[in-house]
Amino acid sequence: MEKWGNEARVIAGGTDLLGLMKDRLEGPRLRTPQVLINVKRIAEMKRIDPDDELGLRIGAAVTLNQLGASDIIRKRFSILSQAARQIGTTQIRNMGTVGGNLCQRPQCMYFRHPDFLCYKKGGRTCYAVSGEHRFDHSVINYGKCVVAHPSDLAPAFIALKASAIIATSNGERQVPLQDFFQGPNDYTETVLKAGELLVAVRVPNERSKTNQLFLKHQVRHASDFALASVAMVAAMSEGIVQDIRIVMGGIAPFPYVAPKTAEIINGKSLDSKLISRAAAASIDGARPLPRNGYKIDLAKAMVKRALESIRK
Amino acid sequence: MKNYATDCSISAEFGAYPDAAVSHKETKIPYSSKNLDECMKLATEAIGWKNRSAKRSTRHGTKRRGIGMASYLVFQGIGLMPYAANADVDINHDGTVALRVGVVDIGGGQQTIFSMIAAEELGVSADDVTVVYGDTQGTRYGPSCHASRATPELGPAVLQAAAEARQKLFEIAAPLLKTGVEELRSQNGKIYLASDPSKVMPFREVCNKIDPDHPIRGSGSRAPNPNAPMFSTFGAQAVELEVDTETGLVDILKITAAHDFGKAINPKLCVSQIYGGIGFGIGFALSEEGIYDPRTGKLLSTNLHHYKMPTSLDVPAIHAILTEDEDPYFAYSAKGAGENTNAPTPPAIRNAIYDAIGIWFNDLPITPDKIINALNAKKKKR
Repeated sequence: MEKWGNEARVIAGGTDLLGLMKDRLEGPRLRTPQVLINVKRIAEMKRIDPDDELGLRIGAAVTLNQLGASDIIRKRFSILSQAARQIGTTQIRNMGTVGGNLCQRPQCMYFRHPDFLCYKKGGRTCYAVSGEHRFDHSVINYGKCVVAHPSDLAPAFIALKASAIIATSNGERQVPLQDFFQGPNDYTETVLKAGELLVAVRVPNERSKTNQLFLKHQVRHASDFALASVAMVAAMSEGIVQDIRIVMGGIAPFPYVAPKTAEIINGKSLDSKLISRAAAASIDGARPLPRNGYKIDLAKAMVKRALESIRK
Repeated sequence: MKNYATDCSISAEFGAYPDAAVSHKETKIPYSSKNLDECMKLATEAIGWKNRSAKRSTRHGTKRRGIGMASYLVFQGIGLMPYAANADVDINHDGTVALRVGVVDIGGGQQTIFSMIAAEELGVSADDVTVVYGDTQGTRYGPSCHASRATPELGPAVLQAAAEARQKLFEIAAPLLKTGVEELRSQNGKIYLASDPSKVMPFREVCNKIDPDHPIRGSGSRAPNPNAPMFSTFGAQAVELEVDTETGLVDILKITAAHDFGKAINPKLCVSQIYGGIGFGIGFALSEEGIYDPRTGKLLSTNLHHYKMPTSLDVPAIHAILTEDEDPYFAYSAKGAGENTNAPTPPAIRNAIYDAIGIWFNDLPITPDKIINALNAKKKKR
């Protein structure tokens, strides 16, 4: 990777990268790689290793179906299994990997079209603002680019307070996954620099048993990206919410952590009034684009459903 | 369900497409066969139409149930002059049969259906008939495989070709069985006398008398439709679904489909065509969309992720019913079953959504954003 720098891209499942290459997407800020570096054969990257102290280390080349079917994940981190099983199709989940899902590029139709030199590719314009943006775009925190982050795993990982383990030429560094994603004015979606590689995700052990739920809504029942998704991890004690984390996908340029919702709920016992208030606050300050305002109603309804699931 | 025409009513001299020409004179033309009433009755009975209001009022959380129905007719035999559908049947010295047709089987089942028609007419097993297609040297002009037209247009030509070939074979068989041609019948690989079935010769044995270098050839063709009657297939589909009033997601629970294809030469193929057409119709109604950039006019949904075809999880249990009927204008009464099967699916889904949430959608596909927006607009009106 050091030798080839920007000429090289890492390939594992290739479910996103090969699509980008076949569509011949090019721009000053997006180059077709000349070299592909295969990481599928690195045994360490394909393992899920539990550790009593550090928590789970999930290799970046673990496939989505491997993640969805893993016993330890299903028992202790079921939200990851729920999210993984709702991604794409069986074929995509057999090829696609955890690292690939976190590092995937935007689903905007303009970004994916070779004839539109959009902002993300190094152009000057975002075509989606005044064009098609009903399904794949943000309602909050957008900037020059208005696309929403497409990953289903990212909100689930962030709700579990996971970190990214990044290999660099000077060894490994660890970044909380919440800070792994960049904003709408950057040309890439992650903090990975040239020559760096996401090798694993570290999920800390939960101190007590938590309620975990991942909800996703899409246009068709499978093989689709989220119009909106909600990841919820909640520690409860005798009907009182001790610690809740709600992270939403498909509505912002990065996985959107809903801070006010947690603030409103933590330390309280849930009733329908509180749930309505917390759901309404979940994407407070949203400014939808002309044709995606429905996502606000959708996201609020999903937060409400998530909270109702833990109501005693 | 009461307002549909019993005759075909067209406002034009026939000869052009019925809806293309303008004339002030309205003529009523009867259909060659028509089972629409029966189709509507069977499809609605199977979905539980009578319990519609009870189902509608049973609330499942944020979900609302609805049942809808739609029917269709699709004209058959769309070829215009000087077009004709042609078929040839060769009977060889070794008893094998080659059926030559100009249509290519792209999954519509023509290989199966036409070999069954020819075999029935010749009195042999369908296994003995080889269908030759996709070869312009060995076949003559025929309809292409679309618009549910191959079976109704080519079927009669195949039947005629097989009958002519059989007649020629009977001319060889008659002196061998010491009888006249008109006395002969052919069935189950045997040629026998109508008046005395014990006087019999195997089909293959008769074929052995054919000159190996000059197989018997029978030819058939079907010209464009006559002025009357009108030819059409009919059907009705009913859909039961649930609309989530918060998320705008539509879950189709069940679809019943009753179709009048005349006689089903191969019922399994007809039912498969219904399944395929419904899948096609579900995508049309709920997810498939050609999305264009409003400024440049460029198509944006250029891949099968953005152009959302239904997956197996989007297609519900389908209860398919074939209402078979006689129609002397077609080969063994077989009208077409193909693309026509998707015609009633989108309107039936749309009608069911209306039944569930009281909103008419006039813009397909009915995606969750449209449903949420329409429900919000309805709330504001109140």
